[in-house]
Formats: sequence, C-alpha cells, structure tokens
Amino acid sequence: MSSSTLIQFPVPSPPEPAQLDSIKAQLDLALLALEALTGIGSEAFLDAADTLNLTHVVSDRVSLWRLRQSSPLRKGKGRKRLDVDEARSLVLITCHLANLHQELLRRAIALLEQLTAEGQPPHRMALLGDYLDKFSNTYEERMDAALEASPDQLTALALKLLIDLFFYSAPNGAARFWATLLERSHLHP
Amino acid sequence: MSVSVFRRYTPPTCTLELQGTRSPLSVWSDRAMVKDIQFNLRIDGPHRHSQQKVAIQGDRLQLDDLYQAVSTYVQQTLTLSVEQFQASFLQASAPAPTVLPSHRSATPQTVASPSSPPRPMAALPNPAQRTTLHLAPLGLLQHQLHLGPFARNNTPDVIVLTTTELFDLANALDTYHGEIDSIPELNPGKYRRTPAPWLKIAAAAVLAIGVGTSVVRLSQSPGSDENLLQSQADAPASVAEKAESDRLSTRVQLSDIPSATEALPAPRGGDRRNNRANAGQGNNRQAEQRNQNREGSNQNNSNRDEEAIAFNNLDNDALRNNPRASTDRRAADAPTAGSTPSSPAPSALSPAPLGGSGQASPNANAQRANPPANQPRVPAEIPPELSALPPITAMGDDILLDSSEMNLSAPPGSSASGSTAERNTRSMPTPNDEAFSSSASGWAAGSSTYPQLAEVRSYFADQWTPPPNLSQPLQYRLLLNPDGSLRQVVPLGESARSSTSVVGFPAVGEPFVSSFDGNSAPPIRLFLDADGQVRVFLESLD
Repeated sequence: MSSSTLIQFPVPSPPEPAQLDSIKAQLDLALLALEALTGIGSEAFLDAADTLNLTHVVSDRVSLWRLRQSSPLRKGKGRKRLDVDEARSLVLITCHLANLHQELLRRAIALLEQLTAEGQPPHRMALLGDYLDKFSNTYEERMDAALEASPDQLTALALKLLIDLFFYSAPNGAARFWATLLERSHLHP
Repeated sequence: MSVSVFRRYTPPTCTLELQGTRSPLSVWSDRAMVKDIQFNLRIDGPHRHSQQKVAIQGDRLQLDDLYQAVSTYVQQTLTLSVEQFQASFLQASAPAPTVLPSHRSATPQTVASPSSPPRPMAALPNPAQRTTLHLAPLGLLQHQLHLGPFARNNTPDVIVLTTTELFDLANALDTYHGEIDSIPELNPGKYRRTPAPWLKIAAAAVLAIGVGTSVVRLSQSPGSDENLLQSQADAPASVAEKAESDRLSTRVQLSDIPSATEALPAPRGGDRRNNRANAGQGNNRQAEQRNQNREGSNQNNSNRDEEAIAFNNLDNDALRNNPRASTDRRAADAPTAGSTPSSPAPSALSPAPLGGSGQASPNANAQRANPPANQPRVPAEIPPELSALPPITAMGDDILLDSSEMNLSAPPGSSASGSTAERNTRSMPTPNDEAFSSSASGWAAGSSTYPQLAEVRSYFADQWTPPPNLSQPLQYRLLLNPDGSLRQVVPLGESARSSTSVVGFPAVGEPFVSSFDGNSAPPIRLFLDADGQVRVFLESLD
C-alpha cells in the first residue's frame, strides 16, 4: 500500500514543532481551497482515500475531521498530532482530487489571467467570485478568530492556493506539494 | 542495432517533440534510453496568434537545462509565502496605466529583441542572468523565459509565458524526464564552456609533477624510510630486489608500519590505515608465492590485496564454473559503480574499524574493471571476516558502490602474526567455499560471537515490510553504542537514503539490543531485501 506510495516523500530530518505546525496549516488550507472551488465534501475525501488505499489513515469522517483539526489555525487547535504518514496521505489525497478537477482549476486560472491582463478584479467572473466568497466565508467560519485576516489578505491567500492547486494537479504534483510543504516550513515556519 | 525514437508531448498550450536514437542499453532498463536527442518545443497555445507562436530547437543538453530551469522555477514559485504573493498580486492588479498596457500586450506575445524587454514586475535580472537560461516572474501570472545563449536568430531572447503555459511546459518536460533516460554524448555541444587554455597547462603541470613524484617514490630502496626522496639512481640495481623494495616502500607509506617483516601489532579499532595494511600483509604471503615469477609493477603490488578481496566477494561457484563470464561481469559492473555517487564520507564512519577510503576506491574499481589476465583466482585466500559479508551477487547497485569498503575490510589479523591469526580462527569458522557463497554461514559466524546480531535481525524482521516497487536490497550501516543503543544509521546508497523513514529504525540513544562487552560495539551491516528477508552481518570482528 501505502508504504509504497508514501515512500516517495522522504523527510530529510525530523521536523521541528514549528515546522510541523506550518505543514498542518498548509495542508488544511489547500483542502479548504479545493472545497471552496469544487464544492466537494468529506465524502469525496474519503473516496479518494479509498482509491489511494489510504483508508488506514483516513477511514471515516471523524478521522478526517481530526486530521484537519490539527491545523494550528483552526478553532480549538491542537486536538491531535499529525504524524508524517498522515501528512503524506493528505498530500496524496489533495493532489488526487486536484487532478480530478484539473480542468476546473485550469479554467479558473485562465479566467484569472484574463481578468488580470484586463485590469479587472477577479470577482467579476462568477467562477472566481464564488470561489473567493466561499473561501473567505469558510475560512472565517473555521479558523481562529484571533487570526482575523483582511479581505485583501484572504483574496491573496485564496488566489495563491488556487495557483498552487493547479500545479499540484499535475502528475508529479504530490512530489511538488511535499517539497513545498517542507521548504515553506523551513522558510516560513 | 539502433532504432529511432520519436516522442511528442502535446499539452494544451505547447508541443514538445523529441527524436533520437534508441540505445541498445534500453533492454536493461524499464525506461527508454535514447542518445543523440534533438528537441523541438513550440509554444503554440490557441490564444496565441500565429506570429506570437514560438519554436525552439536544441539538443539534449539544452533540453536538460530547460527542464532544470523550469522545474526549479516552478518550485520556487510554489514556495512563495502569501505575503510575497500578495505584494505581487496587489502590484499587478493596481490600475496603474504603466502596468496594464504591458500586461495586455505581454500576455500572448513574445519579445523578440533584448533591447525592448517586457516590463518586468520583479527586479531585472543581473547581467550574468541575462546570458543564461532562466525564468523570472512578470507580475502575478506571467513568467519570462530567458533563453540566454540558446536563443537563435529566428527565436526571441525572452518568451513571456502565462501560468497555464508554464504549467503545460513544466508537465511536458516532467513527462519527458520521467520517460526517457538520455545517454550523454562524448562530445558535448560547443556552447558548453571549455576550460581556459591556462587551465589545461596548469593541469598538465600538476600531472607531470605528480607522476614525477610518484616515480621518485617508487624508486626508493627498502631501507630508506627516512630518506624517501632518494633518487632511483641510488637504489640497488637488482630487478628482483627493486621490485621487493618497491612493495615494501609502498607499504610503509600506506600503513606507517615500521617493518613488514616484523610481527604485527594487534589491530586497533578505528585505525583504518593499519587495518588496511594488515589486510595487505595477510594476503601478501600467498599472493607473493603466486606471483613470484611475475614481474609486477609497483602499482600491481600495492593493489594486489584489494584485488584478491574484491574477487573473493564474487560468487565463487560461478567463478569456478565460468571464469570468463565472471570476468566479464566484473567488467560490466565497473561503470555502474563508478558512475554512481560515492559512499558516505569517511568521517561519518569514523568509529568503524573498517571502512572505505577515498584513495583506495578507484584502485578497487579499476581492478575490478581490468583484472590482470594472468592472475590466478584462488578463493581459499579469502580472509575470514569477508565470510561475514554477503556474496556480491546478492547485492544491488547501491551495494556495489560500497565495494571499495568491502575490499578494504580485510582482516586486521590474517597476517604473519600468530596470535592474531589464532584469535581469528577462534572467533570465526575457517573460510571455505560455503562460507563465501552463503550468507547464512556469515551470519552464524557473527552471531556466535555477538548475540546482538540476532536481536537486530529479530527487530527488523518484525518491522520490515518491503514496498512493492523495491527492486534491490536496502543496505544500512548501524553504529551502536556499547550499551546497545543505536548511535547512528548510515544509509548506503540513494535508495536506502530515501527509504530511511519507512524502515522504522529505533530512535537514537534508546535501548535497542543488549549491551556489548568492552568499550566499543562493532559496526553492523543491515540488508533489507525486497522479498522481506532481513540479513544482518558484522562488518568486522575486532
């Protein structure tokens, strides 16, 4: 199973707690962006886990909720530790789902390119507007109120995650995502 | 016989075509091995007008450079923090008239002249970057691909890519890189920088000095330890005496042993040079008898021990049955070992009484690649400790890399020293054919002395679940503390290094096996086979 799939994501050294927090937050945000764009829910995540033979890590809604609840940005943070295998599993699930919705991601990016070239705000297009609204609402609903972000910050975060997800939808997206998690955790713990 | 290869990758906004010649080596690989690759890349998305479509041609080196540049840039872009991204986004979306026309015009266009580059959102690259292949961000969603020296007359110096184009280009290059193994040409493209002429002269001078110094050293007499720079003209005249003196002189320099004819001191753990020299003494006795009629060069004398040991690690049954095939196989192994990364640095292995030496490895590989045709192969000369190592035929590429270490892991005491030889005989079985070809006998030899081997094996037998895609054994060196706790895990080979996290090693410093007698623990070699088997060996016995 899983060991064969997960073996391709090495960890050069045991991450520090701050780096682990960064990884957990990034994973949860990527999944949040995916939810906001595609409208998928926990059932899709569980199906992906089943497809990838990762049900021993993500077996049901409760385990999925516990994994995502490990993000330090969440309300009621720190309920569960996230070990390396669980992080790898979430990476694989995220990239699998991003790949399934690659056409939607491409369309969203193409619209964003078009609007940016025309100097128009991204909300002008329904796909991007809906995505940004849903992302912002869900973020404020789930994340710690102490981490309140401005609308501009949330828009930038949502668009950055959108572009990231596009690249993660590639065949080697999981390797890119894993490398990004590690590098970001070192650079911006 | 060569077969032409043509590949075309067609993501929505670009087309990458490759053509080359299939190498006969492809039969040994699960990926196509292609040489003489030429590529043609077209940025030809449907939103580009015909005059805005770009085509680039080049060879394999250029394609690899392009792959590296794009892959690195994409990863750097993904690693940007939200704050960095937001700054870029706000800048790009600001309704400044100086920016918007640039974006409008730059989205699908190419910039054909370096004198009129597109307005960059990021800082302009420095002059050195302008001449190299690289990418730079252009606002939020655009990216400049600077072709650098690869730009041709009919292609622009800079190509502006949208994010979707960059995505497609990166995917096409990734797919190429994942599907095809390219074989480097012996004569790289002329755009590769060649060393300056003075560098060649300096290299020739260094080579001349090195060769001259070596000749002087090799020409010294046996009793001239304190006068190593004595010229060859002062040496004794007899050819036989000269050959012997050369050998002894080399031994002195290698091992710092006072005299090769004196009884050797007991081997000391951690002194590699002594171990290596002692090993050489152990093999020299019979090797000299074998080769007394051969007028060997000094180089052959100094490498004789390693050569014999390297040979002895091979499957002896196969060697006896088909010596020619074994020689061919070793010759075929040599490039593999030589082309892969070297074994871990000696400093990481410093506690080990045995280990690799960067100076000896090339010799060992050279010996394996070009064994002297007239040198007899006598398996009975295998030192006892080597029976604790698995036969080399059971090893993968990663392990072959480590052959220099095994070559040098000859017994510290298989020499003229009677007491040392007696101790080795007591602790290990007398070497025989079965001992060489069977890892089980090696295991028994070590486990009779160190029950910790059984404990290590038991631990990993429970832990080890081989992944399905594992094709060769993973090899690790385990360095333990005298109290039995794990001190260090040294992965040997790239596959072992990348799989360390899935093996399930115990934490460093925590109790692992029972404690060792004495103040040191011998290094242990761990093999995790693809079929789930776990093999544990001592690297040496002190």
